[in-house]
Amino acid sequence: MTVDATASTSERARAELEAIDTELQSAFDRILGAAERVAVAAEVLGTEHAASIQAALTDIFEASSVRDIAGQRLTAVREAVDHLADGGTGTQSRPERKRDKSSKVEEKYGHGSASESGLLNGPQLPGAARTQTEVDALFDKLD
Amino acid sequence: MTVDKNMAVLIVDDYKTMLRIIRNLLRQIGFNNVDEASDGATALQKLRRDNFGLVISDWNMEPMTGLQLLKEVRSDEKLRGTPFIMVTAESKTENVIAAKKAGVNNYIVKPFNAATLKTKISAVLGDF
Repeated sequence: MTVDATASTSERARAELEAIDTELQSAFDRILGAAERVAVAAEVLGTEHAASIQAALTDIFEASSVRDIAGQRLTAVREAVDHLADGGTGTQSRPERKRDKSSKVEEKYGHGSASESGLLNGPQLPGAARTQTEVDALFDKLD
Repeated sequence: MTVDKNMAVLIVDDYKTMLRIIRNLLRQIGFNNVDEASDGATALQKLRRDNFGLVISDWNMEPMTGLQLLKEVRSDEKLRGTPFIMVTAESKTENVIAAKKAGVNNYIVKPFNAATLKTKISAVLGDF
C-alpha cells in the first residue's frame, strides 16, 4: 500500500471510530434519559410493581456501563491506528483522549505521573481481566 | 454502625455516562446527596470546599488521575480520613497494590453491578 493510500485508510478509520463514539454517546444519552423518566414516574405512581420496575432500571443502568468500557477500547484502537499510520515508529504525538466530558479543565497535573507508569492500561480483553472476586481476594490479602 | 444516607457523596469520572449511572444506582440505594466531578483536580477542589462522607472515583482520568487524587486526599490533614472507593477498569495486580498502598478503602472493577456497589459501600461505611 502506498503512503497516500495508508494515510487515506487511516483517516477513514479515524472518522469511523469518531462516528461510532458519537453515535454510542447519543444512544446512551437517550437510554439513560428514558430510564430516569421511568424512575421518576415509578416514584410518583408508587405502583405495586415498583420493585420490578426498579430491578429493570438497575439492569439498564448496569448494562449502560458498557459505554465507558467501549469508549476506552475505542481510544485504544484510535491509538493503534495512529501508530500504524505512522509506520509503527511511534513518532506521532499522542492523540487527545476521547472522553464524553461535558467540560474541559485546565491542564495542571498532566496525565498520570512517573510513578503511575504502566498502571494506565484501560480495560483488559475478555478472559484476561481479573474478576471482582479475584480483586477482592488480592485486596484482602494485602491487609 | 448506622450510615447517614444524607451524607454528601462525591463521584469522580471523566465519562459523564458513568457519573449518571453511578448517581442513579446510588439513588436507588438511598443516597440522594450526590455531587460530581469529571477529573481529579476538580474533585480535589470540591473536597477542599465542601464536606463529603464518601468519594467514589475512577482511576484513568486527565489531568489528575484517581490515584493522584487519592494520594492528595490522604496527604491532606483535613481530608485524609475521607472514605475512598476506586471504581476502575484497571484490574491488574499492580494497580490493586498501588491503590491499596495509597490508602484506598475498597476497589471495584468495571463493569460492575449494583449489588457490588452496595456491598463495597457497606464494607466501607457500615451496613445500611
